[in-house]
Amino acid sequence: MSLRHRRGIFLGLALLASVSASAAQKHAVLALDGDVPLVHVPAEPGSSISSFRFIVRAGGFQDPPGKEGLAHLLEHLIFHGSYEMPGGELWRTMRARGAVVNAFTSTSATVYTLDAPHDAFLPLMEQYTALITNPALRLAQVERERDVVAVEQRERNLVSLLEIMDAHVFQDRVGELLIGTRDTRATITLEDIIAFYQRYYSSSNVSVVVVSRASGDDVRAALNRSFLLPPEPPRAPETMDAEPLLPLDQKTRSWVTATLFGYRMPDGEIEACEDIAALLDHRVHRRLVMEDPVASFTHVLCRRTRGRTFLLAVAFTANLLGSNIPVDAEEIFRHAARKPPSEAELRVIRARNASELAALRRHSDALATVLALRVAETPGPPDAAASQVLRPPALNWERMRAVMQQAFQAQNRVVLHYSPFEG
Amino acid sequence: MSRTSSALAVSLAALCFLGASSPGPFHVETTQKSPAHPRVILAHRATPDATLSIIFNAGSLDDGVASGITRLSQHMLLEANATADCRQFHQDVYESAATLSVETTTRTASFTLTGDREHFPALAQRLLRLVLSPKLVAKGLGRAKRLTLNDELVGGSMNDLLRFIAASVILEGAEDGADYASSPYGDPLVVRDLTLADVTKHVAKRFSPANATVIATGAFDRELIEGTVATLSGGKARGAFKRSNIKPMLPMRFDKMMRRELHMQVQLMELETPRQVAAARILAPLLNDHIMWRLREQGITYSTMTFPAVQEWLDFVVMVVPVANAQDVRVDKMLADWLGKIREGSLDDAEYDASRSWAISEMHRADGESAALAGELTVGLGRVRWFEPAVEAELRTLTKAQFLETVKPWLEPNSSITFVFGRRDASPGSNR
Repeated sequence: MSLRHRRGIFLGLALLASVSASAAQKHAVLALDGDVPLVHVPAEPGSSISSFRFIVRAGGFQDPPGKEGLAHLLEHLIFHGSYEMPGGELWRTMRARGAVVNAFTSTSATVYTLDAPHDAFLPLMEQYTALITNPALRLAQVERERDVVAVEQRERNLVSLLEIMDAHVFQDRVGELLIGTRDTRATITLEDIIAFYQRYYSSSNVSVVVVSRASGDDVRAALNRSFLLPPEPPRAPETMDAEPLLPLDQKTRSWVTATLFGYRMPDGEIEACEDIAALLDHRVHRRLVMEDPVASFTHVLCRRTRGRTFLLAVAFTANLLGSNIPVDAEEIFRHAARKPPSEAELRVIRARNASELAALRRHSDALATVLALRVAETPGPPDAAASQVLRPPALNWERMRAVMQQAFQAQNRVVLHYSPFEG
Repeated sequence: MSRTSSALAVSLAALCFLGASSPGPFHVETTQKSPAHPRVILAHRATPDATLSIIFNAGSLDDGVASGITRLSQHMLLEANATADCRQFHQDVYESAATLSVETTTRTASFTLTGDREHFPALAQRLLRLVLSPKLVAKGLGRAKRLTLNDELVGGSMNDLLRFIAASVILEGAEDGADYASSPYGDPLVVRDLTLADVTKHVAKRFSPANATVIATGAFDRELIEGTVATLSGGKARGAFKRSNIKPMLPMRFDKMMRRELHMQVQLMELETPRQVAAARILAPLLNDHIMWRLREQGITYSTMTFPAVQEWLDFVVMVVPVANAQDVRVDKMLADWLGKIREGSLDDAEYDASRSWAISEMHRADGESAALAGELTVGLGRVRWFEPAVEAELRTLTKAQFLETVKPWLEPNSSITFVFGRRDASPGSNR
C-alpha cells in the first residue's frame, strides 16, 4: 500500500470518527482557582459561535425589601465599565469582533452573556470576565442608569408568566419583582449597590458555563487569568429556599389569552418531574394543538425556583375557545396519572427528546443559557444540573405515577389565566 | 474487494462527499429547469442542520375582497391536503424537534422548515410535495380556518412595523395604501365564509410551482431536493418579485400624537451593486450604535433598533428609537444631525471599523447557520443580490471614503421619511 493510500484511509476514518464522536460530546465540570465551578461543553462541529454565561446566584428575590430593582440596576451598572475598560470600549471591541454581550436578571440569578465567533472567543471572554469581576462601580452613572431602567420598564410590555408566578407564590408583591418601581429604585444608593455586589458577586456564589470549540483546559486557563473576585474562605451558599403560597388561582382580564397551569412537585423529585413534563408536553401538544387547535403554542416544563419544584404547562392563543384551557389542562394532567404512556407515545417522547437535545447542542448560545438557568436553580455542584439538562428521559412509569398522585392535589395547584373573558 | 480496499473506498467516498459538500463560503447556485418549474437556490454547507424555504410571489395584497384567503390557503396546504398525511407530517415535525413556520406578508407567502440532518430529507420532500403539488380536500378546512383565526396573536412585530411604514408612505400617492395597512391574516368574518372552492381557485392561481422559489441551505441532500423539485411544475409565473411603481414625495414627515415618544427615521437606499449592498450592511450598525449610546448617556432610551429593509415596494434603512422623559432633548434633531455628519464625511475611524467588522462577521455567521442563511437569501429575492461573495469582498476592501461616497445620497434630507410620535411640540409643518 502506498503512503498516499494509507494517508487517505487514515484521514477518511478520522473524519468519519469525528462525525460519530460528535453525537456524544460530553460536558465536564472543572474548577477555577478559588473553587469557582466551570461547566464546559464542547461546541458541536459545524456550530458557528462559542458562548459564555457568568452566573451570579442573586436576582430579584435578593433585593432588600423596599429596594426592589437593585439586582437588575446593578446588572446595568456593570456595563459602565472597569478602571481598565470603559463600557463603550467594551461594546466597540465586541462589535468589531462580531460578538454580542448582554445580561439578564431573573428572580433567582443574574446572568452575563457573551456569544462570539470561535476564533475571537477566548480573548473576549477574558476581557468580559475582568469587567464583571472588577467593575468601577464608584465611577458608574447611577442616576443616568436609573432613568434608563425607567425607560426599560415602560418598554417591557410582556412580563414572563413564570416571573408573575414567582411574584405571586413567593412574595405577594406583583409588579415590584425584578425591575422594581420608580419609588423603590429611588431609594437605592451607591452604597447599597456596592454592598450587594460584595455580598453576592463572590467566588462561592458564582458559576460559569462555557460552550466552546476551545478546550476546557484553555477556557479554564483564560478564566483564571481574568477572574478578579478575591478568594474567600469556604462558606455555605446563602439559602434561597422558601415556602410557596399555594394554591394560586389568579384569573385576569387581558387582551391576550395566556395560561400557566401546574402543580408544585415533591422536593427532590426533579428527575421524575422532568419525565412527567416530557409525557405531558406530548399529550398537551397533541390535544390542544394537533387534535383541537385552541392553542397556538404549548409547552410543559419542569422548573425549580427557591428550592421548590413545579411542573408547569404554558399555552398561548387568540382563539376564543382558549378561555377553557385551564379546564382542559387539568383534565389532561389528571388523566396522565391514570394512564401510562403507550409504546407509541414512548417512541415519540424519546425521539422528540433526543431531537430537542441535538437541536440544543447545535446552538451553543441556547445550550449555554439553558445550562446557566439550571445551574442557577440547582443547589450544590453544577454537575447534577448539567446532567439534568443533557440526559435522556428515563420514563420510569411507576415512579412517575407515584409522584403525580402525590403532587396533583388542589392544594398544590397553580393557575394563572389571562383572557378577554376574565376579571 | 479486500477489507483494505473497502476501507479505502469508504474513506475516499467520505472525502469526496465532504469535498463536494463545501464549495466555499458565500457560494450560492440558482437553477430553474423550465419556466413552469420553481426557481431553485441552493447553498450547501457543512452545518449540523438544513433549512428549506418555499416562497411564493403572492401575498395578502392578492386577497382582494376575500380578505385572509392567502393565509388560509397556506394553512390549507398543510392541513387539508390529500397529497400526504398532514397529521403525520406535523407529528413528525414535532417528533424530530424540527421547526416549521408559515409567514404571510403583503407580497409574499412562505413556508420555512429547519431540521437536523437525519430527519430533514424526509420532511423536506413531503413539504415540497404538499405545497407544490396539492390536492386540497374539505376535511381539514375547519381546522385550517381555526389556525388562521389563531394567527393574529403570533403576528411578528417587525412585519407590523414595515406594514405601518408602507401604509403611511404609500397612502400618500397610491390607491392600495390601505391594503398595505390591513392585517395579512385577514378579516375573521370573511375567513369564516370562505369555501374549499374559493381556496382551491386561489391556490391554483397564486401557489403554482412556476410562481415559487425554493431555497435550500445547510446540509441538505442535493439530489433529493433537485430531484423532487424537478417533478413539480405548472402554472404561470407572475414575474420575479417586480417592484411596484411607488414614488413617494420626499422628504416626508409625520407627526402624530401618541402616549409614548417614538422616533422612526427612514432613509431610502439604492441597492444595485455589491458596493451598495456592502455599504447598507455597514450603515445599519453604524447608525444604531452611535445613537443608542448617545441617548443612553442621557438616560432617555433603553434600546434602539436599526435595520436595512429590502422590500418589494422600497429599499431603506430604518432607525427605531423609543425614548422617555426627553422633554429637553429633541431626538428628531439629534438623528438629523447625526445623518448630516456622516453625509458631510465626519465619521470616527473606530466607529466605522467596528461596524464594518461587524458586517463581515454577520455575513460569516449567517453563512454557517442554515436558518440564518436561508433568511439572507430571501432578502430582495430575485431583485437585489444581498448575499454573495462579491458583497463580502467589498466589505473587506471598502474604505471609509468609499463608504461615505456611497451612502451620501441616501442620507440627504430629500431621501428621508421622518416619523415623530408623542412629541407635544411637534413640527407644525408636518404632513400629518
